[in-house]
Amino acid sequence: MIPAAAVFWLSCAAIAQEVLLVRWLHIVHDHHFAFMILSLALLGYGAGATGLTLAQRFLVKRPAAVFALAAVFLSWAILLSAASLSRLSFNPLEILWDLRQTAHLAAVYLFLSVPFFAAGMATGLAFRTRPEKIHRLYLADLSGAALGAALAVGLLQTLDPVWALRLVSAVAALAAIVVPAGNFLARASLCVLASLALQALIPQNALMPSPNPYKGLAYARKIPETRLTTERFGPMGWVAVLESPRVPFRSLSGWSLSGSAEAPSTPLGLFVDGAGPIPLFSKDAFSSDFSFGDCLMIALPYRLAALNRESSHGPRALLLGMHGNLETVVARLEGFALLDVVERNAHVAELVARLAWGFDAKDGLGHVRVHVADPRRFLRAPSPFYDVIHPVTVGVLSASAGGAASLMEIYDATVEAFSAFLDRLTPDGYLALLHSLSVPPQATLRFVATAEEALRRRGIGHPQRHMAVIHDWNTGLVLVKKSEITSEEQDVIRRFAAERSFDLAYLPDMTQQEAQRFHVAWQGSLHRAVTALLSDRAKDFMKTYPFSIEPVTDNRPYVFHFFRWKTFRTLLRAEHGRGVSLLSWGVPVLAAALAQACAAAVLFIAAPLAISFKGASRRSLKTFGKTLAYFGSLGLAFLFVETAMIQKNVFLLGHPVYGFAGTVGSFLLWAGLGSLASTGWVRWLESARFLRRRNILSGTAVCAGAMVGFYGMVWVHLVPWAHGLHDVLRWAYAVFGPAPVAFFLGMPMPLGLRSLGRTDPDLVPWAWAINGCASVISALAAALTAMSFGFVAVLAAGAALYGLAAFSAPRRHGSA
Amino acid sequence: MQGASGKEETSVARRSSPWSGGVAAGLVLAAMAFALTGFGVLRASALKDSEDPRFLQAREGMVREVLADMAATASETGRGALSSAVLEALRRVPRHRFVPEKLVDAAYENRPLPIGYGQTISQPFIVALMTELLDLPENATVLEIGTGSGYQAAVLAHVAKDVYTVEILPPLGQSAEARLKALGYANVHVKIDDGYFGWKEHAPFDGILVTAAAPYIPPPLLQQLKPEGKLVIPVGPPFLTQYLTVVHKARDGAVTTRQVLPVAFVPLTGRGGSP
Repeated sequence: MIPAAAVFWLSCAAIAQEVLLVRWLHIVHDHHFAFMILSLALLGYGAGATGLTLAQRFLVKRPAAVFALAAVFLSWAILLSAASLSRLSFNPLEILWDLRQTAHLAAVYLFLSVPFFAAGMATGLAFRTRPEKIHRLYLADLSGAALGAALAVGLLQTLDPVWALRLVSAVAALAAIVVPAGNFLARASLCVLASLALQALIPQNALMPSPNPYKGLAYARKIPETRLTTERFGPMGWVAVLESPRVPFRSLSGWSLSGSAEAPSTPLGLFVDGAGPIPLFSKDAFSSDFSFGDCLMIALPYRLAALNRESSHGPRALLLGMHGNLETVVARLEGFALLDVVERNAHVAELVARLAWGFDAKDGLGHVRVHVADPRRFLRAPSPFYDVIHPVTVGVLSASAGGAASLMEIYDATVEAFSAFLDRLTPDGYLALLHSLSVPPQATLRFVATAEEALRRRGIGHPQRHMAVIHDWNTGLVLVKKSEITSEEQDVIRRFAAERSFDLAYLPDMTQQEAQRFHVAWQGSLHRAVTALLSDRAKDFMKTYPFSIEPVTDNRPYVFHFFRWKTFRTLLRAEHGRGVSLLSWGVPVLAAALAQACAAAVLFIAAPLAISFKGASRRSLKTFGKTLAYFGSLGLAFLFVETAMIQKNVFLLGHPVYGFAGTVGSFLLWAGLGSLASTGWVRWLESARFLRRRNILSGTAVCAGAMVGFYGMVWVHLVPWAHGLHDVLRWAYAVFGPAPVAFFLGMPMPLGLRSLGRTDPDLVPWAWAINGCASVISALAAALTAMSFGFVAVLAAGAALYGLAAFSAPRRHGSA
Repeated sequence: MQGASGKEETSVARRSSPWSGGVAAGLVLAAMAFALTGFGVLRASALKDSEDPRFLQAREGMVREVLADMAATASETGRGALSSAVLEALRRVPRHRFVPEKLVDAAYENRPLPIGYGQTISQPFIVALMTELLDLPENATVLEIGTGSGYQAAVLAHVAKDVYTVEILPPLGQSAEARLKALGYANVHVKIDDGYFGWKEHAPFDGILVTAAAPYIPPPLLQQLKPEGKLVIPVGPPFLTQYLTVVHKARDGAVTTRQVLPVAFVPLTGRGGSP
């Protein structure tokens, strides 16, 4: 007999490993590839259940022993798959050119899916052998997963990641120990020894993920005399500081080509998850009277703000994100006496403030306050009005708009975010967006369109008179002002640009002749594009532009998602597929992952039909069809709803890590309680005679869909309101708010499995495999839906899928 | 912040005779190259195994592909064909000697290849286009930042009088130097150093190529560029060049740039839809 406790610990270990794997993958690869690899690896769950379906005749004979073996195997696989990850020579950047990379990718999938295979098979075995206790086992599975998610985040907060992984591996072994079979002491000793043996055999450095050779850290470490001086691990990333005395680091985005000044350099560079370097300048990097304003584009908003220094207090600036200390130094040397710097990652804030110059009040340049917080939350709190607000992180991410950033939800550059920034600006203050240019222009136009929408929502009739755009060969600066940009200010911008060989892309009173004096863009597009975007024909322009540049909102915060299928087809026709270099890769990578997941799902679902159930003539096609439709819809629906709620909580709680841990932990727990209550729920329905017995499963799925469609929608729409609540209430809203939805979502699955266990027990593992495959497809499809239509649409699709489950539910239910 | 120890300046020409295949053979080849390129002197010798028919055929196929790419992207790059010097350079440089042993079979495919250390050898089309965009005068002196395997330097060696190339990673720089020496490229000079500073001792240059995508153009490079000289720099992640930037320095020192798209991209037309 497999006890619920064993399922609990197994599930805990598997999910904790999944969360740790997210970190590992982000260190080795960029965000979008990490997402794809992990999604596909999770198909291991479905594959494990399929394996069980095919071999159940043998495996059900000694379920406890098989479960214990699977748990020990999981404990080994957790370590071995992590050790293999950075040693597999998969280079996603080369995949367009080299077909062999697809074989390497398949190897990565294979290695990473092995732990999930073991977990999927063992859990399915528990369901298969104890159908009458499925509601308890499902509770154990979900609550174990909830603990696993929380445990992984907690471990990453407190432990070295390698030790975190070793601990999770030990948790898997614990699942084997609690299975009651034979002599407890002998079995426990064997499990502990088996786990310890591998722990001892794998050295610490073999488990440490290493960035692929094309990441900044890997490259920098190859430079002679470079050494790692400091590192911090945490759920928000691996922060490392390198010292390179021989070849220093520099940061020259927006540096004037006409400037003759020596650019500052520093031996210290900071890397997050292997990406960087972010130079950390010491005071010796430049003299205290160094005029950055003569060289750097970002000095412009400070110069403009200086025109209106009438207030009694000194000028104030707000920097959102800490990309080293250059921005801080520029602001201070431009005379800004008060500077608030907001950074989400505590380790980045600590290291930059400690190692870089410019954060110490003793230097006599005014006052810098570093806040570890979410920028949107920070702006909700009482704070002064600022003359300049500079969302640094958004601009930095624009450099990887075509790759890593294209799938990211970024709440700091939406219409709502810009509105919040404008609220905190002084009447003559500037919002400054320094960013990397792309060809054809994309991020620049997205920022302009979003700012225009934010200004319109404030009731401003002529937003085009509140904006200016300048650029050089690869950097752009969008300026947004609360009040109209005056003629005097426009003259300052003209002079500033001309003296530094920057070009004007847009000014309210600009002429075509003023554009492209120094930097000729491809097809001369930037000035024309911005002008068209701020004209009456903006809607037509956006509609027919080759890339998606519409304003983004909190409902669809994919700031660097520019992908359009029509353009994709056009660019694919280019020789050697070179045209795709102009695309943002997020959608193609997601679509490729979805196609692979669907193909694998077909294989895993069809294999038992072709092999194990081939001769099962007793069953009609209808039984198979209904089982597939019911459990497939449930798998799709659950993840759709969970994804939407995770994303809303990411916004609400201020960081993806908190959003993920806060939602998954609580959501699965509530769903587990729903599973536990499912038998009582059925009894109540039967006694109350609301539904005929044969419609109880359908009725339960309808209730789940209705909860999503009504309560869930209300919850989502109240999130902006909850964002302004006190911390305790905000967390309570995030954790307890989704409880009613999750509670009902926890019922249809165990009820369906139990029903199947009574009528067709050998179909239980198959149903589990269907659910596992559908969950993976769902996570990818939900992401694509969110990018195209927003989170509300994802939630609505989730509700509709519960309707489909209701339609296809078996007519017999699993009442006691 | 550059230590003196960081500089390991070496010149292939200064160290040994370029005519590794024998003086007589060298002279014959020099005469042939002179006739073919129209340049005043031979700047690189040919190779024994470059005449291997297998590679010759593959190289000719690669050149055809590059020419097709040039024609296909003519409206974006402004160059529908290659100049005879660049074309001849592509035909003569044995690319298979610049790639890792295991990738020799892919050497003449029109695509970038990994060369280790997180670096790539650029796609032949991009190499050709960047060289073309330099618009080098006769007897030009060129600076390359990012030697890598040395392939781009070898191509430049056929169209310029002297090529000065700087590599930041010692293993790459040393192997490129040895390779170029073995192939007899006497007019290529390799230095292992921080490319930010260029190569002041041999400045000014008629053209500068920055072969790795960089988020900025180091000011010293612009100072080392001759008036009317051009600097070409790619933009984009490894393996995927998004666009090239051509920086032009006018006689009065004024600097202007132009974006060049190495991709045939016909924007979707519509009411105001084109960028």
